[in-house]
Amino acid sequence: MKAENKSFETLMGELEALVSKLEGEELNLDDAIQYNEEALELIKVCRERLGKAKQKIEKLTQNSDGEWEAETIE
Amino acid sequence: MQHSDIMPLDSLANQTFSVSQITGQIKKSLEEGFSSLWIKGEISNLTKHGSGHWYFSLKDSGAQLGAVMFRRQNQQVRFDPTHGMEVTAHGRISVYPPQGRYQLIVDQLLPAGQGDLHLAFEALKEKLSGEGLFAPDLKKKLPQYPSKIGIVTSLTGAAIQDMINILTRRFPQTDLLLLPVKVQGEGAAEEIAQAIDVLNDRNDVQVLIIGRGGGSLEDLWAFNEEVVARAISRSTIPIVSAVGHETDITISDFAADLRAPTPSAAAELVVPERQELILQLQNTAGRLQKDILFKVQKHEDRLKAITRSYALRRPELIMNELSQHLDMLGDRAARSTKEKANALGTALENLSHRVEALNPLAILKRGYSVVSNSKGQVVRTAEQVKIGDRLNIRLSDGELETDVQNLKTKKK
Repeated sequence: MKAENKSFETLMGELEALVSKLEGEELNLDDAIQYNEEALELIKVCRERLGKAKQKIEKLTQNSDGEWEAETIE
Repeated sequence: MQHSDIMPLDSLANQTFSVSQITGQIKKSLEEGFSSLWIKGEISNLTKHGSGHWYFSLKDSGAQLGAVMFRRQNQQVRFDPTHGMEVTAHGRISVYPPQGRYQLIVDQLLPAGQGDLHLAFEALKEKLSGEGLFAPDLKKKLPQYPSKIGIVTSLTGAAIQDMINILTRRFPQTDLLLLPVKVQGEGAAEEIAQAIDVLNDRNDVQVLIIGRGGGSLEDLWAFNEEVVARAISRSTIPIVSAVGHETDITISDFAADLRAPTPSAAAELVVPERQELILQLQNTAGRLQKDILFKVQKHEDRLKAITRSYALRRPELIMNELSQHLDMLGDRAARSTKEKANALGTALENLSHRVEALNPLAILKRGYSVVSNSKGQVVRTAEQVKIGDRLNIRLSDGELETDVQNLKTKKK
């Protein structure tokens, strides 16, 4: 899955896994550089996400048919 | 005799005790037998002593019981008890040996109506706890970075506004789904329970906050109802219970995966702080860059060592190996860390020049040649050669076989 389609939680989880690999294991330079690159890329994506604020606030109410509908408020 | 040794009753029959001894026995057995209990009664003979302690009796039509409530505990009492008031008290029975009196040491005091609620609370708590509803291993872990939070509360009142403000300020990456409910009065508990179920039927929220702002015990009562506790317990979405103020404890709090002291505190608990997270990511990036430079440096040092020890013997092999490392280090480290890559590039270039210089083939290319005799020994001086010897001359692109026709030795 491409980074854009992943949830922030997934991205942060992947980042944490990479960082602990980099800090915990004796890696060969090849892998270390590979993981390092991936981690830095993830950090970039996460920071981009944190830069965008697009909070949606919705209200869930029951319509006359008894179905629950979400409507955006504010 | 130690107070801690309670004798079996049948062994007391044929003995003589001092007053202190028997009082110690009675104290011990009363204190162990009545260590936590709720008692309903009417307050009489209330004295609020200068020391801050309260002394009074609890009585009904048939009996009275001396009671004391020490300052530390009575400071928590949120009403003003007076003579004749019906109350419910919680505490333990103790004996005051100098007066040979037993009394109730009160740690909680509630007006009678509230006392009934309190008893209902305790009963439900015990029942649900007995069923294992509050077991620690049932507690679900909250997601660290939820993309959507469900909020079950009233849309009127400060609590919801506080929560929205905090969630928006801390982590606007999280969407909010509000499910307005009645939080007090008739039908409130059922609405709250239904809301929890409705949100569970959807697939979009990763964590729920249920709660309301402060109020009286009666106001908060919906969160002490069994239907709410059951709905919380069957929820597959982790739930944070945030009811009233810090000091208000509800059944919801026990059933929920996490108790927040207030709605505002719940909002702070469910999302990280964006700025803090950005800083943290920056630090991580910095650390990763430093670490990888260190690793590359270490590798480079090792390469140098290898080059020194092997170059003379296996120049071609080293060249191949080195050029591979050059590609890898130069290319890939450059992408992670440009600055270092430049320095590293220079270092590696120097290194490759050095190895190149050590390669005999490179020397041959510059016009030199290697002469060896028929035994394959390299000829270094003219003194090693006689006229008529067959010699092999190695050039960069081939070899020559020659016979020596003439020989001149330089004068030393």
